[in-house]
Amino acid sequence: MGMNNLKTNGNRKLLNILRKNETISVGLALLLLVFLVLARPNFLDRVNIDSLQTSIAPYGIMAIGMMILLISGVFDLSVGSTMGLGGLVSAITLTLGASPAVAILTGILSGLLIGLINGLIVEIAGVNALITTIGTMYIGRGISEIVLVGRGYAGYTNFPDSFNNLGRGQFLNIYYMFWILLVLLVVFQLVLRYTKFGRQLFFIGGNYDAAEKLGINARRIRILAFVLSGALAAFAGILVTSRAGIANRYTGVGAHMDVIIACIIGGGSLIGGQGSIVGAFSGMVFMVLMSNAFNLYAIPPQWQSILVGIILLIVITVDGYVSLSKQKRLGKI
Amino acid sequence: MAMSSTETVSSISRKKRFSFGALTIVLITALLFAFLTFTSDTFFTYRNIYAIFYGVSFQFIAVIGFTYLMIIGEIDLSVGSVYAFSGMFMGYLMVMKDVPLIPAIGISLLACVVMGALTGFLIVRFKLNSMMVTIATMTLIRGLASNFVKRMYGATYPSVMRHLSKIKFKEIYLTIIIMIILVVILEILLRKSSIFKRLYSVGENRLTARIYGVKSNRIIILLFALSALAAGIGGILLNSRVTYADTAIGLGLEFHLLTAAVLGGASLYGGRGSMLGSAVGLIFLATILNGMVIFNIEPLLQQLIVGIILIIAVYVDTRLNKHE
Repeated sequence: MGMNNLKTNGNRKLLNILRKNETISVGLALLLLVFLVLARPNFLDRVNIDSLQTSIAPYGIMAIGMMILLISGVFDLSVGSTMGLGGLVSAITLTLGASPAVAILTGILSGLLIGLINGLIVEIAGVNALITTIGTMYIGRGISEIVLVGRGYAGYTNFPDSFNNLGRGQFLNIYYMFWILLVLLVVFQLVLRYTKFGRQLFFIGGNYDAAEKLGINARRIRILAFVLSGALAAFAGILVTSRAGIANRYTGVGAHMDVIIACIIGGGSLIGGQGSIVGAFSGMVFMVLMSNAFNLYAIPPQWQSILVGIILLIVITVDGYVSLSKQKRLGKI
Repeated sequence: MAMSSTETVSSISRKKRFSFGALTIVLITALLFAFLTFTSDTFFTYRNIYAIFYGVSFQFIAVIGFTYLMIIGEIDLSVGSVYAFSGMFMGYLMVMKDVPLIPAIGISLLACVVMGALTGFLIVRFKLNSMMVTIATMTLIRGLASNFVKRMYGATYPSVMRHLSKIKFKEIYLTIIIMIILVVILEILLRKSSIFKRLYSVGENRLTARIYGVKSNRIIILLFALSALAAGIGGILLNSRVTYADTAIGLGLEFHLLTAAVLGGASLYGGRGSMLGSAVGLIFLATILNGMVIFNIEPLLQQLIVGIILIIAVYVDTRLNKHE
């Protein structure tokens, strides 16, 4: 009897740990980090650390926006297109002679606009988020392509140094963009935890109807989440553009899947109501570290998608198992 | 997508709603055909229409399983990866392992079916969201496919395999004939057969379906296996047409099929969908591209136009059939 109790207690504890959704991704990311530091002496090389920062930062920023959407029970497949478009709009504004600050603001504004359109179509017109954001993904990419027609593969280049500095400059040996990511992580963690908006996101994602019946303006909050996600994606695109010094048609192609996968590994769910900023960040760090590990070991990249697929399957299944056993314990099934 | 018990009752008693289904897309496509015929000399020629149908016939095979899954309210985003995997695996077996044609087809399709069934099993057993699971399998299977691409070093497939997509019956490609026959048979089955009608009830409401004795879990696993098999067959034929393992095969196919199925009357909420609609949806999308080429419109605009059409179609549909 006592043994049995102990065992169920132990099981429950394990379940509790697993239910903290970001645990898996934090663990995976740390494990991989420790392994790489110990096993690959060149992991800590300046060049490698630089490239890690500049890949984690923009994608991490997008993951924040995606996670907020996932928590509220929707998602956004158009972020990759928005990323490309944001960088492109900034580049064009610069080329027209505007100052970098204006160019950056215009770029972010374009993302904001796409987010607003997404939000309005999903929440006011009532079109499913999957369909809407596939549509705006096509539309955004189409606009980028049309604008870039005749510019060859190079797209827009020759930006002033002050703009390129945004993506290339460092403070205390850490890239500006990584500092920006860290600030955004802290800000949005605080928003989720301590503001009404943050808590309402979880509520809406958990039970939309109940949230509306309690007088929460679910539509407005989700529209705001879409706007945030769009603006963050465009900003990420601007960072990538200023780092590379080029705005071309390849920026952000396929990024939506990487971001969603990172968020799911980090404990987010397409069903809504769960997720955390720590999860978004650690999921993204894990993805970037893994692709870095594959580079350092010169393993062909296709093995990476196989491994990511398997890990994703495991994470989803564990999550499903945990919530099933929770429901069983509560007697719902 | 969660349904409460009050909606359970209403969904049984609900009268058949207006269906923005096969008929609408058929009409729209007919209008598009008429428009292109009157405005261009080169559109309505035997060769051009034939080319459109030939191109669509490969995707059509893959959209069969996809449509069934949408009818029962599930989605399979891994179709594009399976589409690439099947033909590349088969080609790999033939080129690098000297496996003869028929066993190579058999092994490759068996692998597809097993992967599909496993996907379905996971979804049913752990009550998982099919979109999440198939994002995972999409990534995994794409990785497997790229592996075969690398291992074949750009070799062309053997001639017996390349010939598969070129088989003709009375001067017409067999894939087109198969498409037309399957559309007719499967559409009739969906409308008349009680077994197939059950799919709609599973999609409308799983709980009620179970109460009435429909074994929805088994159906879900079976349909995921079927979806992989259908995508596998379509993929083998397309790979045969492309003649070598091209990494671009099947990229984005899942969204293309989804667009076609939704234009053809399927709903992400399940309970609706038509085989004829999905097929015409595919033809519609192919015709738009064709028309743009004829009018010398920047082909890049295609993405933009497809995106707008998709959103408008679903918006009109949502207006006409208010979802709870």
